[in-house]
Amino acid sequence: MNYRKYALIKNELSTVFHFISIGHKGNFRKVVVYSPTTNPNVYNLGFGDLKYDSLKKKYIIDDQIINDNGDIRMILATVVKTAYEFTSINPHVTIFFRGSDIRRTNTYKRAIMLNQEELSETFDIFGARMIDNNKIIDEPFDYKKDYDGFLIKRK
Amino acid sequence: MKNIKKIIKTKRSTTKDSKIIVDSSLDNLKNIEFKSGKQDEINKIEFKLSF
Repeated sequence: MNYRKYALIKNELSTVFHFISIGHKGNFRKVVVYSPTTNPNVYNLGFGDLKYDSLKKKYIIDDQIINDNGDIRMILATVVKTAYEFTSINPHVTIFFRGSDIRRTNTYKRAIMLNQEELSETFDIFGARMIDNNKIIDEPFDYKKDYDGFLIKRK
Repeated sequence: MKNIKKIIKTKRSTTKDSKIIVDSSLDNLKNIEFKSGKQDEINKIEFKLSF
């Protein structure tokens, strides 16, 4: 994605990334986490705002928040950069990602569609569909279809 | 006397392609909880992929 991106900080394994969204609503700490799944070759991409939960007395990631900070393209471009970085170190791993709600999932679908040519130079892109309540299968990505998530893998 | 509005331009910390800084303290976030609970569901998902 050929947009400006935020400066990133990562852990040594490139599975956790942090950046700060700066916009007209203020500064927000963003975290991207790549977590293993039941399939050792599939990692889940989770993303949201780093928040301190005073009730639970611990940090959590708020993946439901809407900041409306005017920088969604930069945020998505920065998240995509983490995918390039993570998979450059783990080229055999497939990334699975989805929104915390349908609106977000469709936002990601649109972002893929708008940048499909560039992304396809590096990644194979698939739609993810849930069947039987707990199984995910892959389909060729088609913007006209709705999916339960997405899968990308380095070529 | 005219009031002159001072416009403060905030310099964004942006980069097109800069080096990523490594901070091992981020390891503390690798098992962090997600508010929606969607991440917990991932552990129950079976991936049946064609590739």
